Amino acid sequence: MPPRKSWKPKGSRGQAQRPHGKSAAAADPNPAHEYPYDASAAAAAEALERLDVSAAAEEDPPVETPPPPPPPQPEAPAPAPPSQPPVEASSSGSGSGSAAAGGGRAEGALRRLRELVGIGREEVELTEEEVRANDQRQEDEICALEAIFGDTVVMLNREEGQRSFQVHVHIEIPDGTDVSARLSFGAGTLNYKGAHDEGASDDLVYKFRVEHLPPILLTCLLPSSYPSHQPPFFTLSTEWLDKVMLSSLCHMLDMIWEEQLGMEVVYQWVQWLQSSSLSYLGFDNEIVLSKGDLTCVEDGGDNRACPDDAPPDLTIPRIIRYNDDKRHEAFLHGIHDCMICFSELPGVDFIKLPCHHFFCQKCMQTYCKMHVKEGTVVKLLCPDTKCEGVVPPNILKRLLGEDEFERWEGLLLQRTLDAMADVVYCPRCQTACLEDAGDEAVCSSCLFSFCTLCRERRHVGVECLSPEEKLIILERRQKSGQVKGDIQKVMDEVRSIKEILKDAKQCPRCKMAISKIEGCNKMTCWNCGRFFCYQCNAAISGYDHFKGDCVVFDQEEVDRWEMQMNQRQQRQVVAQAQAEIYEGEYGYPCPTCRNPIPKIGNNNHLYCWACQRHFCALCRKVVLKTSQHFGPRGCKQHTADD
Amino acid sequence: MSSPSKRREMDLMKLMMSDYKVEMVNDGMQEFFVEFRGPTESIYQGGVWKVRVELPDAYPYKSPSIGFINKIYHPNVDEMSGSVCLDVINQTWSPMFDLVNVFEVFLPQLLLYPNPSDPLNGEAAALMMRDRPAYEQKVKEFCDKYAKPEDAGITPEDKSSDEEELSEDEDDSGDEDIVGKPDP
Repeated sequence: MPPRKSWKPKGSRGQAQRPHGKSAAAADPNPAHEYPYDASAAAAAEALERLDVSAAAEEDPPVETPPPPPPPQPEAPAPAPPSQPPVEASSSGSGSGSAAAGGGRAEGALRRLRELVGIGREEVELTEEEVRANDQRQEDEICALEAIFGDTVVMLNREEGQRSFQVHVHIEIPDGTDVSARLSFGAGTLNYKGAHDEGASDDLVYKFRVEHLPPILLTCLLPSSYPSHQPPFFTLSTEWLDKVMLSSLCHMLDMIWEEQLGMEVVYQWVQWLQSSSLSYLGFDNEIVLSKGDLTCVEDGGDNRACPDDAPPDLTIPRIIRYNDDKRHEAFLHGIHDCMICFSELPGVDFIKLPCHHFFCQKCMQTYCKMHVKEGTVVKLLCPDTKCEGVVPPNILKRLLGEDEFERWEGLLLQRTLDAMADVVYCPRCQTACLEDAGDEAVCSSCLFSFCTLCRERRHVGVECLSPEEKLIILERRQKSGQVKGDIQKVMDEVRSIKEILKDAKQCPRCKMAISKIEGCNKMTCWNCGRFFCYQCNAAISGYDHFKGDCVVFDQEEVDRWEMQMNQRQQRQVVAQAQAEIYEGEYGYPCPTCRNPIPKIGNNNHLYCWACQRHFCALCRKVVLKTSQHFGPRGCKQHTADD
Repeated sequence: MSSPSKRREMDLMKLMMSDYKVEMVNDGMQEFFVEFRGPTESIYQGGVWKVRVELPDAYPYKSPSIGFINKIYHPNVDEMSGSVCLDVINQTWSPMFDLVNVFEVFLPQLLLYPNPSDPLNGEAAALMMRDRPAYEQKVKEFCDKYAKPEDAGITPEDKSSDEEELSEDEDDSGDEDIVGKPDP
């Protein structure tokens, strides 16, 4: 009798999702379910969130990008001898039901199998011939299985002459499937909700979608009476089925054997599990995770069903992680287009960023190298146009050479510290220190107390020394012979600062010296981005500041423009005059700005009044050096027009 | 760069497919001219400009250089040489952008929202800040004077030369004669 009837989770489909979501309330008209607001619901929600996070946290870059030597056979199923360490580096840290524990799993299943041997079965007397025949058939069958299913069939140690193996049965889900779990929150942890806990006010349903399910492990031990008289001993186990469901699967496997007594049956078993087990369990559209309350099943469940019994906050992340690993594998094996260079490359040649965008390795490398070379290191963003993801340092380390990576790190540190207004470097030992309110700082490593403006010893109440004053003091020191160290260097530096300050103003935030060559008085500090007024050196935010005493354009600037405008007007007048003189004559278009310039006489050397460039009428190219362009080997300078 | 040409070819093709008239300078795919129309609902509406696009070696990692061949009055375009203030495009450039983006998004945005804090044409910037109606008037003047369709004459790549067109015409009339005759 199928135990599953009591198992179909009532009304779990279409019901409310997380407690703070909307309540679909399909089966329950009671509006009191709308929003459970008690603290336990909040804690439960948090626990639900953690399911996501733990799945993501273990999914860090080593999983996303292929490890430098690509694994020869990236496989989640256990490698052939169970004791070998896992092949795939990416799952090495996981300790989930995949490669790492796969070996241990097989051992455990085998142990379990041995316990079952002899329980509930009659001993069968076989002739020697029958034993030999069975032996041969078993060997053939195993050969066939290995040929069909490849490395999902794992041979185990042969003891007492009995063959044993484990098949990783991958369920066929062509379009993927939803997985959901009804959970309750108690004693600080998430648990599966029992079928009889109908206190539905704190319904937590966690739902997600996968394309790949962890395999069902069918571990078989072939007795000498198989296949002529008895079926193999077997156990079934998987992360996502509980004891009751596994028991019902075991039952079905028994029935399959009954249908064809005396025939090899393992292939049929695997086939059935792959294609029909889900619908048999009622999971056509959605798989429901649960714990399997044994009180409603009479025989206490099948011995051969070996469920995981792990709590949902372990199982769910495992399932999600398996799915992600498999998806990544599929990505690696497929061929994809790089959106930057449009070349088609196999998945292994791609680099996937944490924001899930991927580009081919060559493009990423060119991109990163270019930015590091140019110094735009602060925010090396994902090349995708609207994505704000960053390129993480470990990927950069792989793409850049050692030197470039060091340069990147150094520049990044420097830029970040420089932009932070309150970080200064100790004048004596160069360690970065934090500035205090009164323009002072104390170095944490050498304990030097200094003024951040002039970088000399702290001088409370007294203004900083100007460069001139400093120079005088230094000169005096030099003359009197009280020389400590390389005083000349210090003096040179002070002199340079003095020179710089002659023509520059200091940014009010980061004190970088900025000099204005041309333009208006609204300055943007190139170091930290602050706006400030060049006239009065105050920090400003817009053009409003210039409504007062400060002007946007100094008279000097205005004069300069006037002069430039006059020059342009003069040139225009000349051009117009020229046009009148040479009216009707053909104007050669300037290669840069396309204005027509007529020839003067036979001279092919033309001067464009608009963009002030010289060019040749014959070859229409810009001329930089007359002697080089027009000569015996080059264009003829004087030719008559055709 | 490994295969730069494929990217350039694709971008050029996409541009042509989006109904822009493109004129190549030589077969090198470094430089070409595109006909660009002023965005509707802007003061540059109705103007037609010939825009020179130059793809640097590092394309698509570096943004292309844009220059207006016929005159345009805009704070971020140099009046004499037509070059566009590079930073505006440079700063936001990503290798995923392509030429269609430039002509569908960047240039219209530049024309609709000039950036007066970084002007190549200081006079235009100052006029825009000081006296907006006068600035708009001047823009329209320039459009009428310098941005007529004739000024931006582009001979697109797929148009054949005059000779071939004539002979095609002759053939067509010949075909019509034959086709026109009904069956007896």
